[in-house]
Amino acid sequence: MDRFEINLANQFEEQLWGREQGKQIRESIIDSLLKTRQRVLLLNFAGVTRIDFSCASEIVSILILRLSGELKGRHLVLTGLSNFVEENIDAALDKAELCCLVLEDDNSWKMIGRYSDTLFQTLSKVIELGTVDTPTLATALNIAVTSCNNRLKTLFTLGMVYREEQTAPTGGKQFIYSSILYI
Amino acid sequence: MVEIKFPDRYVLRQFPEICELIEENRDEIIAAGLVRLDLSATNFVDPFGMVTLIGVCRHMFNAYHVSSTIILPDGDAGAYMERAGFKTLGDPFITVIRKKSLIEYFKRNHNMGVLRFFNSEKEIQSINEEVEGWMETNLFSEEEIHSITTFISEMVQNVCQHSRTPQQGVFCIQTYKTKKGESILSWAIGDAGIGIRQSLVESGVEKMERFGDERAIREVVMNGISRFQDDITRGNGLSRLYKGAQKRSAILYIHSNSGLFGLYSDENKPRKLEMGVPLVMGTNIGFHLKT
Repeated sequence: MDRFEINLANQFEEQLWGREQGKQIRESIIDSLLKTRQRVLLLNFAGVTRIDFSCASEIVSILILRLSGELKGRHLVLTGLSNFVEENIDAALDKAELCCLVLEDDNSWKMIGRYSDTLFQTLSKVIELGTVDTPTLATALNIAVTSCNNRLKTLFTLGMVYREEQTAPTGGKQFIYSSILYI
Repeated sequence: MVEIKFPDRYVLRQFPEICELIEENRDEIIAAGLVRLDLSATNFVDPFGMVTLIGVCRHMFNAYHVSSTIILPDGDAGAYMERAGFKTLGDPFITVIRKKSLIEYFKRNHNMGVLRFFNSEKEIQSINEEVEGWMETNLFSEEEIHSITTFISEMVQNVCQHSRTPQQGVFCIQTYKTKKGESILSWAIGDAGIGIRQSLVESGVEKMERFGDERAIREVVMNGISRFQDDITRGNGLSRLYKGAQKRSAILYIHSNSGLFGLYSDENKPRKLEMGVPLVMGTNIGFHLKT
């Protein structure tokens, strides 16, 4: 489950303006992603000097929405964001009520866009533990398993955690969740 | 021929006055088939003035098949306008006349970019390169340049995607440093299309039918209402522009058909603007920032 990296400035343009350009870039990214076996897309914005709200929406927001459709099981991490680029991607995500994982230069991480404190806490714990099942995570967070399950489902839909089905010790099926960082 | 005399300054806040004058003389103008827009006594025109001047001419032609003659200002303002592109306007129903030679004034005017006409998103890059150049020359911060170019990109897209303008969109920028060291930035963008409200009505946005133009603008600006109701990624452009103007205490005029909405400054205090104006088809946006 290693990463598939696309550097937008190298492959496309340093200035990203408008929905038309955003759509073309997104479709190209999806085509490339579907041709690889790698599951984590690292979208590298290093060198991108400008991006407007519309282009950010087309590239990032709609890509995230596709993660629960044709790209189900794939994951997205952003990196190389300048303050200005991050500001507009954050605004685009906020409008769509979405969020995304950002990997910083020093390998630390953060979320941008619109998200709740509880979602952030849950993701933090998954990243801290590396790999975890729902009951263990619920205990670690001191919350009910149902709540924990809902939060994990949201994180999975947003492509922010990896999920694998395994046989539980009791004989049934269970999901094991893993961080998509540091892979 | 009917003559409309323009005031000594034609900037954002004079626009309603011009709309009123057009409305008062409308029947006579239509009967004559020609209107003369006389700016000979005007000594300052900002980008919103330039863009709406073209907008008024286009409205008269598109709505009534009336041709326009623009009399350029005699002094610096006329030089500005000529240099900006009024000498070579592409609209065949507009004739531009200058009474005096403007060559000596011409040399003194270096604060304004030329009028940029566009009909495609592909032109955003070149428009914004010009904006960046002007802003860098006048020492605006990288943060301001980033924000302003983002806003302009979104506004150009609105014109290209939604306005259905029969003539090209038009953009104009002016930026300079005052003797006090303040950086001034003023830009405007306009089209002669169907207007914001009508665009929303045609895409089936409920409740727009019963709103006037100024209320429709307010809904878009304050609530991010978009033509694409099932697309949650839409509706960022005008709402972010408004927030950006608020954050910077900028003046923002959004005119669309018979509505005007935005922000202005009264005794250095920011005020909201929402009013009806006599119909001038199209949408014109003006943004004026002092740092």
